[in-house]
Amino acid sequence: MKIEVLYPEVANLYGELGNIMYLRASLEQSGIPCEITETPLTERPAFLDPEKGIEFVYLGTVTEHSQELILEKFKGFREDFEAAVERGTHILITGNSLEIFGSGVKDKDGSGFKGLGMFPFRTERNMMHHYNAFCVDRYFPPEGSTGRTKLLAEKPVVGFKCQFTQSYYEEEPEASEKFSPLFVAERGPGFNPDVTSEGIRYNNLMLTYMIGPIFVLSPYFMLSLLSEMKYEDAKPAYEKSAEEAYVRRLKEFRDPNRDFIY
Amino acid sequence: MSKIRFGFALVMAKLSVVALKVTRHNGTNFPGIVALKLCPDFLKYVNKPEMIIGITGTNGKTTTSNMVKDLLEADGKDVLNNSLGSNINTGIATCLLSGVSLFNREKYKIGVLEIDERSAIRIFPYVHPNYMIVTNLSRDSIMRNAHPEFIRDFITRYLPKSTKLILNADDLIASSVAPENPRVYFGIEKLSTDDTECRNLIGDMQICPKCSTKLKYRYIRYSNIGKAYCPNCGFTSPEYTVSGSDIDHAARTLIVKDDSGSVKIKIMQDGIFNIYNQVAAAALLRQMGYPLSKISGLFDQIHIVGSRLGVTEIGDKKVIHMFCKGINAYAESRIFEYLRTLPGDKELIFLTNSVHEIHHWSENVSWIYDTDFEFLKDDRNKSFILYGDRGYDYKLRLLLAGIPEDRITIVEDSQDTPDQLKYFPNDNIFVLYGADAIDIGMAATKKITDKLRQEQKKGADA
Repeated sequence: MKIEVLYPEVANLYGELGNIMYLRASLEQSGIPCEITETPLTERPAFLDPEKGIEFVYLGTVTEHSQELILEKFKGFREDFEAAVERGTHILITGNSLEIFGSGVKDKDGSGFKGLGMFPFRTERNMMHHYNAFCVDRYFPPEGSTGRTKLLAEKPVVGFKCQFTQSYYEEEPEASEKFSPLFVAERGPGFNPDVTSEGIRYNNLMLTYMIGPIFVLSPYFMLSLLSEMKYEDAKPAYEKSAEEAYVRRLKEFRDPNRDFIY
Repeated sequence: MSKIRFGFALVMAKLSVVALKVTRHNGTNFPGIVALKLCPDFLKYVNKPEMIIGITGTNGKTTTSNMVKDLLEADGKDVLNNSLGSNINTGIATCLLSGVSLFNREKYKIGVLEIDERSAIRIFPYVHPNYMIVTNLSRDSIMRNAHPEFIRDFITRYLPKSTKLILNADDLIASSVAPENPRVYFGIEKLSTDDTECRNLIGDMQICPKCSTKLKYRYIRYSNIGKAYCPNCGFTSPEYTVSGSDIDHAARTLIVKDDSGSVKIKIMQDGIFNIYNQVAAAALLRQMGYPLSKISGLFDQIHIVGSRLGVTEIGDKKVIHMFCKGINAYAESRIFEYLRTLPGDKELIFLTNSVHEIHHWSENVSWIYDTDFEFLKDDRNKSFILYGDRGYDYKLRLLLAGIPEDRITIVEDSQDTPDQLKYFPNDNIFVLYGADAIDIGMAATKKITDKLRQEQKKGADA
């Protein structure tokens, strides 16, 4: 399996490179060879070129300064990026990196930037307010998914959110022809605290505010994606321990006596 | 009206101090809470020492603050300090309250205040430090501090423009706080153990702040701590005003120098991260006009005390309780890095679960994937004892770091962890505990030492 990690020199906050650590271990323990390319800001991403055969692309959370750096990079290869999305490349983008794909970020202090405008949502930022949350979400695999992919997606996704921003859909996600929500919250905030829909899915481009080592916290979500990519024999690394940690966290997160916004 | 309100708050807060003394509840922030509740501008009106030294940063601020206080006291100064309270606005209010009479007359000439980075907004509008040490800025609690660039910008926004900064030149994030303020830099020169590539999971300063090219390091100690330069635009780390060098662990000395000369200073605590605190304190004292020879003499007169590290030797075994700041990947990695330099076979008890949040929230465990658990992959680490729900998260992380599963045990209750120890000959038992688990750590340590002493006594009786 060919994996590309975008801009790890800046997109590495909140333990998110743990996703790649865990994905690598899971593939190795499943006997699936993997090749991981780390692409710095100074290089053109490999997934833009179909002949390089990248199957999964990951971009994590960044600082506000780096967010504008990556926006400039995406502006430079927007057409090739859109082509990769249309080809169906699996691309997972987490935390505030997703915000570059909306209409833009408007800060309370008047600063901000115009986004790529690929999807109908806007982002409001307040650096004086740090939003933290945990959530239990349902993942919906692509329409028509069957067998293992469908079965795995029935396991809830658990994760954390940590952001200075809130994003607002400018089209009803359930009715939109341009995208669907990536997750629907069972407990916890969605794309913002007023909605249960969370993130964006278009083809296999996935944008979510869930941060941190999502694959470790929700190994079945990782397996769902691997199954969609036809790696149906993949198992989570240290499966028993991962399952125990997941089951305990799910129980904790579903406890009605715990607040999910901090 | 405001001054009447302040006067009332001062009297009531002073009365609360008396009440706390009577009920033996010293060392809380309650007087500061009372003062700020009755007069939100209390920090504005309370008289302050004519010289205020602020100490902030992600790690080392408590140690550095206590050290500076001790050094100044060793020089015969009477120092107001918040070491017994907290470093947020209520703690600062409590401290300043204790520094004035009932008539708001200040009793101290010097105040040494440890200041929480996130409390800058509530403290700096009213409290204007003459000097401010920024020990370092690194990743801390994800939920509270987000990322270090945010903290840097936050301090910059609120810090008075007149404050002279004493900044860590080896930390490009800390050294770029408040660029318009007057400043000097401290750091530690190249060490034989330094590298040129980062070997840690956290590397927060990988690109040039001027041109975004990947930075190179002439030497790097851990994460982003070292001497950086940009191969593209020529940007470099600041030059040291005061530096440490020639660290001699055996003789427990280092050389501190500046443009006035150099002097040998006693090392107070092992670990390069602790030595930075000493160089920071020396740099501050130089700014205050102390000659290097005098600074060296003052270091000879002080020692580190506290609950952050303790070693008890019983028979052939050592029990070491060690502060290991949980939810702080950077600090925990420093401990793991240090542990691997220590000789002998070890057993490790992890009591770093975030206990305050256990009943109403759930600790964001993302930080453990920023933490260098890989440093613990060492055949001399014979067992890892974990507890509670978070124990399962730690276990998975330890497995990913390459720790054999048969060395990992999880129990439900923290105080059951000592029961899992093997107590092998020449065992070095480490009890690692976080900031909100000091009592848990001490209780577990006591359980271990009690057991060992009982066994020693039994052996002697037999």
